[in-house]
Amino acid sequence: MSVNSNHISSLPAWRRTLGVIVIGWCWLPVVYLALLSVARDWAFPKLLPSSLSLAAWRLAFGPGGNLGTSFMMSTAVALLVATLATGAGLVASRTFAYHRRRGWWVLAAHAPFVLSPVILGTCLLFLFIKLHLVGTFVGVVAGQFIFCYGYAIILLIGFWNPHLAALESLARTLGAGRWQVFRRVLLPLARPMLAVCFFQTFLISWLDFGLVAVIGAGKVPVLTLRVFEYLGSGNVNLAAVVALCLMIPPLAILLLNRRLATLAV
Amino acid sequence: MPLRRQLLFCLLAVVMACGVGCRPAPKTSSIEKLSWEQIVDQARGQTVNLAMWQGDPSVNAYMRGFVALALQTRYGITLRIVPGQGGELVSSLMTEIEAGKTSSEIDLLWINGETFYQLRQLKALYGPFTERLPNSRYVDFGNPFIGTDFQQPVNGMECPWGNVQLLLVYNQERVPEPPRTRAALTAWVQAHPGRFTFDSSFTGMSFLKSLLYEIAGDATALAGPFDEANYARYSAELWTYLKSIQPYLWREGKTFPASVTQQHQLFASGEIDFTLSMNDGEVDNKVAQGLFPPASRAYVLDGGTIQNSHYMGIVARSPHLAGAMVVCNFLISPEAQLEKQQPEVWGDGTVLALDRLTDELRAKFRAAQRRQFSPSRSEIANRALPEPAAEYMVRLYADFRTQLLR
Amino acid sequence: MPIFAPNSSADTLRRRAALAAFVTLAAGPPLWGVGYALAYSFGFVGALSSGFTVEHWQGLGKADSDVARSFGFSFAVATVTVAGAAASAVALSQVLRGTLSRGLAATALFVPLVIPGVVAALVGFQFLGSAGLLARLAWRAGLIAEPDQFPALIYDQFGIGIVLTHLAVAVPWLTLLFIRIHANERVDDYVALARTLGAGRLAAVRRVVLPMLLRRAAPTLTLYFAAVLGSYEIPLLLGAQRPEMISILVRRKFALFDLTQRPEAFLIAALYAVLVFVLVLLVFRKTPSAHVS
Repeated sequence: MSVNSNHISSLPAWRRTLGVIVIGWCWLPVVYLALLSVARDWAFPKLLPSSLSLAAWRLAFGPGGNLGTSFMMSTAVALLVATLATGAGLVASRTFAYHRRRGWWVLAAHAPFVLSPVILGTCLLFLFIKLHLVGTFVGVVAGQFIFCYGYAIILLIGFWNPHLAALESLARTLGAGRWQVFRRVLLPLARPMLAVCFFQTFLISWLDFGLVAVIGAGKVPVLTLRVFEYLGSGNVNLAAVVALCLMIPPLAILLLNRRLATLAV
Repeated sequence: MPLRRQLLFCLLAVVMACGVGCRPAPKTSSIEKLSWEQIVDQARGQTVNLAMWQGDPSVNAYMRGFVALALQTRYGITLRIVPGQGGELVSSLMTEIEAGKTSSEIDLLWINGETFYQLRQLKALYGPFTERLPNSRYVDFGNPFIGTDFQQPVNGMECPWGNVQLLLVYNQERVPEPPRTRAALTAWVQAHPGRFTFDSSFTGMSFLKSLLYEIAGDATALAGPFDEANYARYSAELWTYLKSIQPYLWREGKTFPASVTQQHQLFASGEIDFTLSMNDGEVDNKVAQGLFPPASRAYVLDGGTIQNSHYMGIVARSPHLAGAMVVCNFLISPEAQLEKQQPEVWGDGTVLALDRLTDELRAKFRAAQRRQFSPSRSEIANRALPEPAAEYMVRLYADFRTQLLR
Repeated sequence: MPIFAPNSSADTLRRRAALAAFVTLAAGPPLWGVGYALAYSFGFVGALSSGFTVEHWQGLGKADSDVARSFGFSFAVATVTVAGAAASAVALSQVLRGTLSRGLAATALFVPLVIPGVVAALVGFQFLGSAGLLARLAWRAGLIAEPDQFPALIYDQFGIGIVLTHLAVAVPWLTLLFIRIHANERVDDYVALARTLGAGRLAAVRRVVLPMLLRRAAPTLTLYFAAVLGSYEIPLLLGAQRPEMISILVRRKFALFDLTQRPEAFLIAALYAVLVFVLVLLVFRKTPSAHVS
């Protein structure tokens, strides 16, 4: 099991094939959906569509499809959730990290996202109705914030350590105010982790379906809901178009900076 | 800034954010006294939330395209469509009632009889309102299939919108002679196992109701309010029959398509030879779009199939009553009904009395009723069965799971 | 260790405020939700309830209970999925560790991260359906002549399609996880040590690599187990009518004509939540949390 021979051409044939299969398998959904979105007349038993057409794309972005609105809605919700969760997560993770019962608090942070979003939404529906949050943009943001906040804490908790605490302490002794310490000492050091946290909470919100379906009551038309709607009406081509719109933006960002997918746990 | 003030600001921000989601109380009392012109005026600029079944792309395209556009340009109303049908609607309105909400999330509902029944029990519908809609003078309330919904007179609490009859759809190339009675169906599924099924949703239950009528032997057998003895007697035979053919159904009857859309997909891909359609104009519509094979044909069982209408209901606590009424009025306008009836658009039957329309319009409606792949309405009208009382459907839904999905 | 002992009342207030915010906005709501669900299932709240009752809970013991079947099925699916995914990912991470850590191959492993449940279900349906891609390949190979001759992978009684779809999306990122754990924990050094002490290749894997990888990954695998247990979109679009997975059963019972089944929906939700919380508690207390970065 040596790590030395890691160039693909120097591997034995079966490893090379396996590697190619894995790469292919990973990219297959995207490629397949791209083909599905422009396919016409692709019934059993054809392996490839008879003809290609951009009809589905035109329909999706046209007045009946309103994909642009959904795209903006998804982006707005995810950006807001990511900002709030990352900010709140930074503050809370610091408090937890330096707390005596750190372990229990971090465990508590798992509570929101261990539950399935659908079930969480169903249980909270009564509360959200009382707060007039059902079917609103704010309600969806609030709901998604609940589990993204927990996730952000878990992701950011590893950032805080005694070395950092000592740095903070030193800066304070040298006369810096709290805000200065934050802006000039902590923020620059935290920036890479904050970027990761922002991206990941953005992704969680962007790809969420269960919570926005229950709390949004169909009135917050994010992209995942549109995919589901088109699937429910048998429109696989349109569903493929929306699926691609869902996947391509985060994929593009991820391909530009792979470190953003650092795993938290 | 001192810490305490920071915290106060945060608290204020949170409270204000909650306030953002709040809504002003609806002006329900005033609408009774308004004239139609004033209602149209008040509706301008409103966003009406319509909850409907979204399982058919043509229907979605008609509503999102033609209807939404006309409402926007002519009345300044934004139509927002949200998914919801049957039990889900009742459930979400009930959740609102439980939470003591004063204004509802939904304004307008696409409903059928069993939902109508439940909503009236919850007192969740606004009305009577149909009399106030100018276009209601064209609606054929005298037709028992339109003026009565699952044995309940509509009484102005819901507005008729479309009228359809259940058909069985089959692939003519594979099924030269489709079965028209229960006995014939038994013989057919035994000869062709795994090629027939029905869905576990509204259309499938309507199919079961049609079989119930055949078992009862008489079109008036299920008339009137729900009768427990009748139901027990006929449904016992129904489940016995279905269990006898269950092993020969698709997937050996261990599971059924969750929706008629799913069943259409199985039919279109050739996995099964039959599907059901709660719209006698659907086959032409789907073949034209290339979603069904060109060899698709439709027919009615000898014992008859259910004919019913679908309706629009307005939610009692809707904050946009004026908008909802204007939308409803537009949906029953001859123009919208004609567009809806075109086979390439939707193929949904009209609820308007054609003799009350101008000659020109009447001719257009007649022309739109042409069918290529399924029998015309007049051919199947003599085998149209009325919907039985709503509780029959509710019981069928429940017993279907306990009897067949064990 | 309390690094910053509160050295002023402002600090204490700040800390308390941060904790209070967390409790109100993150930990509080789910606990409130579970509490509400429990209350509903015991009849304390609910429009159609008539006071405290245990009848819904007693219904759990009935033979042929929907609930028991659903929990059993969901646990089975989750176990098979996690076991299968972990096994495949460990194997892949060992065999292709070098290739998959850099370049084109590493990029590929990230792609499934952006696939949500609905899209995975769409692709799963397209591939595994009786008229899907695999069926067409089978037709090409002459193995079947009609769509209905293709084995039932979706809408089936065993949830095969559900498991396969979950696996297809999970194995890539789990592989990434194991590759990183392997590097961070310097497993190679331990393997080298074991080999010097005379262990064979297989023994080294069994006694050094596997325990190290799996123990470090246990928290993540537990969370993944909880996610599959409560998954919604994939079983909704690919599963049979019965048996149903937990989330689907909850939604179905919540949105029924028969509104008296609502307490059962909340019962299932509460039971599921308690089970998942206990599971996470058990695993996280026993294993160190892996911090892979």
